[in-house]
Amino acid sequence: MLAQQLFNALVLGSVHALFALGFTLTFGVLRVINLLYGFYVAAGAFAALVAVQSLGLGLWAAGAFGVVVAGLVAVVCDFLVLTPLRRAKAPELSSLIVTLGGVLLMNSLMQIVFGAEVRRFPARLLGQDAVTIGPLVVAPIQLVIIATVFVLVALLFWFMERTRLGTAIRAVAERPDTAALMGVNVGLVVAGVSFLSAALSATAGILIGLNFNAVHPYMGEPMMLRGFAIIIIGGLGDIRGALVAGLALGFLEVMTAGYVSSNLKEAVAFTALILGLWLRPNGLFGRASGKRA
Amino acid sequence: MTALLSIQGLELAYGKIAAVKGIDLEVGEGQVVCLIGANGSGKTTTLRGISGLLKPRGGRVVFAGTDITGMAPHRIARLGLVQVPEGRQIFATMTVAENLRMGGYLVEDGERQRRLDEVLELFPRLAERKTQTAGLLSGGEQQMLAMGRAMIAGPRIVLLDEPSMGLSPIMVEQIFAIIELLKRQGKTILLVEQNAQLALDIADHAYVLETGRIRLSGPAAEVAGDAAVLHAYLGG
Ligand SMILES: Nc1ncnc2c1ncn2[C@@H]1O[C@H](COP(=O)(O)OP(=O)(O)OP(=O)(O)O)[C@@H](O)[C@H]1O
Ligand SMILES: [Mg+2]
Repeated sequence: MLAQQLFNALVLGSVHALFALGFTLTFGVLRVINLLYGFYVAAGAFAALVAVQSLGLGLWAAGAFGVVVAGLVAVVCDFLVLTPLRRAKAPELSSLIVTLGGVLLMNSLMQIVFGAEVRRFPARLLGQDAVTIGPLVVAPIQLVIIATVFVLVALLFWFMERTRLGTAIRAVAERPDTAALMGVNVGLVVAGVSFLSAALSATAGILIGLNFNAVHPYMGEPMMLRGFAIIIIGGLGDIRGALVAGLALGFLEVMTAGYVSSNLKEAVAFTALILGLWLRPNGLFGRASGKRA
Repeated sequence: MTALLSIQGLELAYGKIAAVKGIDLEVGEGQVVCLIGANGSGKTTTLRGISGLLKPRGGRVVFAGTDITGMAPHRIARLGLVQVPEGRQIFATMTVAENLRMGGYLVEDGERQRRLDEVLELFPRLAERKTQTAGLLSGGEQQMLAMGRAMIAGPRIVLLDEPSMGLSPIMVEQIFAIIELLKRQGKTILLVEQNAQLALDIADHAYVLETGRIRLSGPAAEVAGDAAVLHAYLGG
């Protein structure tokens, strides 16, 4: 029982962490609270679903398709909505309100186009039925999820820490003007980060869609609440923090659902958020968030 | 001979407020030119106008034969014009080495490594702190880092904005020794300073800025000779 819970928590927590990584990246570089970020969960999942149902693509191709579509939508949305706000150095509250309007609009559009009911991936996509490994019942798709997240997170860390472009992204996050003086095309980096972060959000959406085999227009909303909790606990813009906090939140949720009550699952993120702010106001790794704003 | 950097009638403003009101300025290849003036006279604004961080309201900036007026800063950087901004502006969350490598963002790997080694040799204090977070450096070390970061770019001209700001006299001396060394190596430098005496000692040519206008210019020795001018315009 415990082993099974831990395994489920690992699946869920790793998806949360992936989602939160993109959220913290967009906040750190674009300096705006981008509620549209939650929309890319559903956008990616639906694009992948369409790719499977209408284009007849397989799991990986459909996933890649969904990720790229969501990324491109994000580049356009951020350029239209967020770039003017950044240029005007608008206060964070305006980005919150503008993107709230944006996400409501996009979610309704999704509902008009795809309907409100839950859609499912065809069973052939999910591979074989669950198998029993020792004390665990494991669905092959769960292994795919864990492996995908593990590889993507490792790649993301390598990219951000070791490559020229990743370093430039960190430079733009810290001091865009100074980065421009070193020859970094800030506009291009911002567009790249829009794409990358939405791609992470969409990947999380596709993985969640596969895990529960359920895709619907509002699936991003509960993720945003978790996303906020994770990036605030992990420290705004802090990638390591988002990873640890995301995994931890997954564990807390699964354990609460398993041992206390599944009704309390949704309350876990809130409680963790409040406790986190209380105990570590500057995030897990203690970087003062004020200085980065 | 035409100047490496040449500015004609440059006008810069923040919204409706004019900060630089039509200035002419030239920097020849291999020259050290200083731009001095009191607080708020528009020195930093002028540099930001040259490097592209602020779009000019009027006038022209020509660098190495290219009209760079209104060009994006990253494209100007590509032409070899590098600015060391006021207040150092180092990347505080990165290590010293990462900051230096960012300076060489446009330089290919092998050459960048070679220049990095050179800079670390020139600044032993940075070499000792290579893997340290740059935000923890002292003010003087941060200034060294900002200068080293610019040197790794292999610039054709360096714009230095108040390198002595907020530093102890000993540190100021060290920083100016580095500028002196760069000058001997034939580097082209546009130096902005509030410490007029130091700047005039090192420069070939000088411009005195007062509320957005050039009030006086000429060979640095001549400008320095006019003590009354220094008092009037620099409040010194
Ligand atoms: N971001 C800004 N917005 C509005 N006004 C500004 C801005 N930056 C500078 N100014 C104004 O422009 C004028 C010139 O400022 P600038 O920073 O260029 O002066 P400076 O000569 O570099 O002064 P200092 O020696 O103090 O660095 C000043 O009146 C200043 O108040
Ligand atoms: Mg200044």
